[in-house]
Amino acid sequence: MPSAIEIKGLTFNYNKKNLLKNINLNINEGEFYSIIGPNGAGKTTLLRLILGLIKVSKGTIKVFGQEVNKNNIFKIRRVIGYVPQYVSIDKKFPTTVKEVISIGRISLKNTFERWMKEDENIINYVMKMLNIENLSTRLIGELSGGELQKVLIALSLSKKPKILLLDEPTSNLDPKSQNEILDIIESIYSVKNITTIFVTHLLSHIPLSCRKIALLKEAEIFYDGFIEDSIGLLPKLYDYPVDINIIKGKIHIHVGKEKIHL
Amino acid sequence: MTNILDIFKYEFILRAIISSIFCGICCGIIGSWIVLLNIPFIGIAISHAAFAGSILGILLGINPLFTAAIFCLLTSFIIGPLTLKINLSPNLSMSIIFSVFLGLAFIFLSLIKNNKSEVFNFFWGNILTLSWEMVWIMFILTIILILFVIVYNRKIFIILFSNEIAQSVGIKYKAMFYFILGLCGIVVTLNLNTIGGLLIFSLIVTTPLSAYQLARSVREMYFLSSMFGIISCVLGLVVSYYLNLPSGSTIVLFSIFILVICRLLSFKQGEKVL
Repeated sequence: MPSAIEIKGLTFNYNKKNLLKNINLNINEGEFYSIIGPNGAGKTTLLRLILGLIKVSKGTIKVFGQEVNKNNIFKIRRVIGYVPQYVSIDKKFPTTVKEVISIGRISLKNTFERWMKEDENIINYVMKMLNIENLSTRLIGELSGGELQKVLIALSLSKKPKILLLDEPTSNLDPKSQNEILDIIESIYSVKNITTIFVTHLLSHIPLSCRKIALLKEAEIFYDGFIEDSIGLLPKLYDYPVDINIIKGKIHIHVGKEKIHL
Repeated sequence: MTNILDIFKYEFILRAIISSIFCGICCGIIGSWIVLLNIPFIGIAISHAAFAGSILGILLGINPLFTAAIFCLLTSFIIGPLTLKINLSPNLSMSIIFSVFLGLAFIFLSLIKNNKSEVFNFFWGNILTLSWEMVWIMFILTIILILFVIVYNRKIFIILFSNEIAQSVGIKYKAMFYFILGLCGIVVTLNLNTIGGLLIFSLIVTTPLSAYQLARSVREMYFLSSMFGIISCVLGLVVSYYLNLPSGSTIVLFSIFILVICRLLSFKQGEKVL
């Protein structure tokens, strides 16, 4: 399968400190890949580097064969849908949910390109898919955390991206909203089969569709591959005791109080 | 009634009213950007740069508006990189620039040996002394601003909404942000003659802030902000004429009055603090 994202010898320094060290990663088209690591491991930095929001110190990142650099960056960003971990939004900003979702479509248009019926249809389709049609005319400041997260996912999907980068989309949400968001991510992947990179620090938040993971700790990837083969390495990720049991053919992992079922 | 209409008999009043309308629209538009980007200090930084520039112009014996414009544009193009490249908060970088230009202004002022009254015109402005040439320049600027808003409306909206989202979806954020700052600089410079360098800061923040209380979209905000700007400018001008008050100060007081009313009518009251 052709490669969607190819990272070779990537290093990123900030204030003379290595935030990422010699990262090598290959993510194929249509794969669902999770990047897991404790806080401060460099997960968000890696996504920001793929988007070209910050400059690589050493090494290369290629998106569909094109290197992420000054010349290609706007072209590359057009094919990537990004849901940031945290967006600072003015709660009183005068705009509705539908207008915010339309940002994805606007970003694809040239200056004098007109707004088409197709754009409207895509926005309506995405809202229907995420079950947020009822929020369409609501002001952005009136949304709860979970609703806002759905709107940001809808925004990234309205671009019809070829790659979806999800940066801890379930953080800061209550358990019900967390499950809703995870179900949405599952259904997007099963319907659209978009290459997806899901970043989290919680093993229990890895969606079922995900078969491959990269374990990131202290700026380095120490494992990447199939999720089943990583189990023995999990204690190293958290420096915490991990219990692994197989009950009725299913793998049950306990990291402290966290339970994971594979 | 005839007394009220008498004011329109004078050509200088007519010029002042027409330019008040343009001033209201321009301040309404750039003020909406300033309020939504949360960079109110840009007004004070640019107006002081304009003040320093105009004093330098007087000192060197060249057109003060020309040097003021150069200083304003310079400020806009220093704030941009300071904010985006050095990662300094925009309000902090503007505070630094404000201090630099205020310092320069007073140094230039101390070097003027003759009559300093011309300098203070740029502080307070005098809308009643505008020439037709100046009115035309303001008309052209207003048209440029309106066209810019019409053409780039959707992209400006994204930049105002969130810089992180704007950059991640592939908007050319840096170029647009610099251009917006540049336009702010030009509007401030050209209004030095109308309500003056110091009071324009108040007008570009208060009228959009009034609109912000009531608007449900950025388009509504442009419209309301411009309307409030026009009402403040025209009413301020007429009242100042009859009561023999300084026009700039009266305009600003009217804009504050509108802000208080809008705040009382606003549906965006937010949480009450105990």
